[in-house]
Amino acid sequence: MSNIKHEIEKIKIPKNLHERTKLGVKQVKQEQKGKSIVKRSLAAAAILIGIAGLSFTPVGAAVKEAYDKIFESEKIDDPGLKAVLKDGHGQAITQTYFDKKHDITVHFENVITDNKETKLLVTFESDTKNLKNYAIDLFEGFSKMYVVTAGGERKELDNIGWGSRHYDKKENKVITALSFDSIKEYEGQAIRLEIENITIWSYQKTEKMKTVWPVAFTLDKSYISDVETVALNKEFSYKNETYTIQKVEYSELETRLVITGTDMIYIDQFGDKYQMKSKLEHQFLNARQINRGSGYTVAEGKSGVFLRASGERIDPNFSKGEVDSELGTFYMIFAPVEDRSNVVLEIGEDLKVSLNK
Amino acid sequence: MIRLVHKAQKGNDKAFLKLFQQYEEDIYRMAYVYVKNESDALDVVQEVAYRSFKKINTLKSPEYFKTWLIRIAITCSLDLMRKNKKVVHLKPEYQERIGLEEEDVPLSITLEELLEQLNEHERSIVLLKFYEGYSFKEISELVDMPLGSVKSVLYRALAKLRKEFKEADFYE
Repeated sequence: MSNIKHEIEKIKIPKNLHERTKLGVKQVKQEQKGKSIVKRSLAAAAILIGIAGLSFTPVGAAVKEAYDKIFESEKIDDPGLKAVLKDGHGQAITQTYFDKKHDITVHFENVITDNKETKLLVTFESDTKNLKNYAIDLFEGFSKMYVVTAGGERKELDNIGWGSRHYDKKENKVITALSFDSIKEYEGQAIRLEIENITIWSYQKTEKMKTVWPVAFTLDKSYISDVETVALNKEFSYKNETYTIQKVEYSELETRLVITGTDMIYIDQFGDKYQMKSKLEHQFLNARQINRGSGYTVAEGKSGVFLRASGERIDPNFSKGEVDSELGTFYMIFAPVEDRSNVVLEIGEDLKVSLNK
Repeated sequence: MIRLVHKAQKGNDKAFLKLFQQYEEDIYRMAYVYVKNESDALDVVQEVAYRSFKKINTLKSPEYFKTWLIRIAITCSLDLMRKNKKVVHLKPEYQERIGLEEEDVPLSITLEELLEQLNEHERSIVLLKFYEGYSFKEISELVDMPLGSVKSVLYRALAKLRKEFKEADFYE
């Protein structure tokens, strides 16, 4: 060992070193998740009234009011949620739960599910407790979501995507759209969803508010969005690798391409297999931009992977980045597509693959 | 490790912290050699954690995670140095003799000399060679410099240190 190394190793390590590392990581997480407040504009409110008038589900004005702030803000990083709100899918639940111990009133507004994911729109407010840092954080906080059947079976539901959150300072109200595992299998059953624990974020530490917020309803068909699956098995080459689009799954919440490829599995020296980021996935993520306070959006002008349908560009849903796939499979998730008659996958500038048989 | 990198690339901060923790002491000490005080070196570590987690999707080969981190650490250290040109005078408590593998010339160096006498390039290459143990080829890739230049900068740095020692020796 050289003397220079010996000298450098004499530099004492401060006790709070790892805390500083954590702070750096936390900064990134908060940028990805934090939703800054956007002032409501009259124009946006007018548009909302128009959409509310067009929606075909019995979504009341009060419910629209509950998620309009998220909808009108450009801070949404989940195009699937936007589509749900815009087209009026899902069903109003309109149930209120009062958490007496913590003096928080919880309003359950709307739920929609398909065979991949559930979206639950919730608002909560308090007269006495400042809710600025309160979040139902299923991704990395202390919060958990459970489904309880009439028979008493209780099953945890994992998060899918980041979900979206908006804090209305004036009303001291949190408006949040949660994304978690599908509950479609409970169709026709009386079920209870339970939100366990609230996560309190601050720069210094993350705290847990122990509680359970329940909502009970019968899951009828109106809550469920259909999924249209197109089996493709279409091969294409990109950067000397071969990829196969196994199938495309269209729903009101998302468009999901299930893809396998020749560079998705890494085998280490012990023969263990790991999922690798393929060249295609790198290209997909190339157009991803992380914005302070608004999560993931498309970096305009950057090369990426998009869908094209009816002349419109359909953006990736980067907030679904952590959806786990089977080994050797990549789920490429985009915003929903309405007109599915002629959909094209556009990779970079030159490669175009039709998603029609 | 590959699996942890992949998890981190999916946004899993716990996986990233587990990975980063293995190298944070190295990063802190390297940063200290540049910025010469605890407070700024801690700032560098936080900034390296921030930048690397934010950009982990750009890491194409998980097996090069450590090298990638070190490159970021050097960049952050230089950024901070340029931002606040602080000079901290350390008091050397001792002087030792050093034998260099490549040359059979005795050399003595203290931390203070290392901190005070070398410019940014020299500091980077000395750190990578003697603290991190990288080969000349690896260093040339890390600092984006031709192999010949890396060698000549290192020898220049060592000559500087030797020169300082001789001067100090002369006045003792």
